[in-house]
Amino acid sequence: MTLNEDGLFPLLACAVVLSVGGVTQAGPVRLSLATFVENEVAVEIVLVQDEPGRGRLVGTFTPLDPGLHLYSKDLPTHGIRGLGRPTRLQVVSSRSIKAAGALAASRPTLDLFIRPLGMKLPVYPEGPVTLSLPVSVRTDASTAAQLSVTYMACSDRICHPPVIDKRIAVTIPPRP
Amino acid sequence: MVGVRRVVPVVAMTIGLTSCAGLGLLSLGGPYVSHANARADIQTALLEAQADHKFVLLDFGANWCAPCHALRALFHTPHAASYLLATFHLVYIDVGNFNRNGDVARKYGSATWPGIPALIVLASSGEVIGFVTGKALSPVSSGDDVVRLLSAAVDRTASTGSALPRPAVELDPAQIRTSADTLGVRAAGESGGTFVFKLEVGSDSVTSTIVSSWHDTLLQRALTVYDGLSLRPKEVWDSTDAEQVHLTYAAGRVRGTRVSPNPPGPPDTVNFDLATDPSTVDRRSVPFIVPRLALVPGTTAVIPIFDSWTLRTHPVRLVTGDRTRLALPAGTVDAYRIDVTGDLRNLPQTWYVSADLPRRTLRSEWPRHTVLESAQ
Repeated sequence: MTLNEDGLFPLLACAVVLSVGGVTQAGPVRLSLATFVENEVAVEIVLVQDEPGRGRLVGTFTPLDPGLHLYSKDLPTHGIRGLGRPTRLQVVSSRSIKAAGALAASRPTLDLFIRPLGMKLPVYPEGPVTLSLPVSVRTDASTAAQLSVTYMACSDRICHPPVIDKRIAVTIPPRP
Repeated sequence: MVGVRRVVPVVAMTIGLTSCAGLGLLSLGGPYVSHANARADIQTALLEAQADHKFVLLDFGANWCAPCHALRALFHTPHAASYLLATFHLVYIDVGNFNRNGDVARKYGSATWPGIPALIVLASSGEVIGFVTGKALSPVSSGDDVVRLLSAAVDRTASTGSALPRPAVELDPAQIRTSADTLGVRAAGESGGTFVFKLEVGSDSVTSTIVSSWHDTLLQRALTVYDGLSLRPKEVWDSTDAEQVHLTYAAGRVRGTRVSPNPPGPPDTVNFDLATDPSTVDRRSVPFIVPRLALVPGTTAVIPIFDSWTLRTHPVRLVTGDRTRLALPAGTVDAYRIDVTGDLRNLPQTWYVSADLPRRTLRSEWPRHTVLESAQ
């Protein structure tokens, strides 16, 4: 109960908004599945159905502050020599969508040189990056799905808390 | 030595870094040890600091954090290394994936907010006397920068408050009068709370009281005494279920004690003595300041506000909007809207104060669907 002056830090607060809504028009159908802001990154996940049975799970990760970067999707789970955390979007469980290809990024990475350590880490340039996961789609009935998101935003001076395997429950409605 | 104790000399850190770097693809490792007992390490460092008259430097970080390694490398540059060795006992505190030593971070003002690395300076008494966190780390790119920032943190002689400047916002003198506002509270659609703000104007001081309750439970009682001329806070007492605080503002510093629960252990007590901007006001001053602004639509003021929870001062923006019509249970009235934003607990807020005199708080909208509203 927030009746006194105490409460959560707005910047740390996580608000997940689940929504469904198809666009009935020719061409791809775009379903907004989830949006949230957590640990200095705004995340939007949509399902794009290019044609019956095929689509893409698209996650856009937008760091809120200039100077923040996200690490490559190809980083090992525990980083390179322990440093960094990958940016990932996965389907954990679903009867309606299944991964049907490799995760792709909208932008190439660049090497962030950590001078004191003499090593490089692949990061996305400042600004939003979009990850796209090809999926097979079966939407003859409304079904639940569980997605997973991982990322961490750092600058060259500070790292915000990592978001590791954040589970997001969504509902895939039947395609009209 | 690194593997045994987390209170490590700077020289030993250099050896550890070099050794780990030779391990090829293996983890770099680092000084943040998951199984360390941070509270015991801090206590050891404080005892040593009392013996040799040094300070204690808490370094919250993690071995996966590249900026933490980068900062540590700057610690090893000749100037910084000699300064650190001569001035501090250094304690590395592993935050894990921000799931470790959270109680220690909370004790020291939510030290790991907004991220890591985070440096906290303690006097040998355990008093918090400085923070180097968040954006304060942005300009740190050399050992000299490390020395400059930490030197400022341990400098307890800084005083810029003798002139007693007024708050960095223009208040309407006519609104500084003995008064009381009682607001009903709705939280997530449920009514049942009250928020009472009283102001008493004395001959040489102004005292504000906040009493908030939910049904029959007292949630907060806060008393703030302001200098009658400058209207700057002088002393604050506050009691909530999250903290009990006593603060004094004087001579460009804020000193105080905060006691906060740490279940299942005993409550954590932390003392602090921190430099502040002389125009800094207290977090509990928001309900005092906002309804007493000199209302000029379209104006923006930025005031530094000290938060005893984070033990840091945050810039807070007040934007006065146009005169508007506000629907209340008792009818529709003219009001001014003031938006209050910043990285402070319980912000953003939107306040509506009466356009008619005497000025009254009509409504205040807080995060988490909490609304304070006048019944009159």
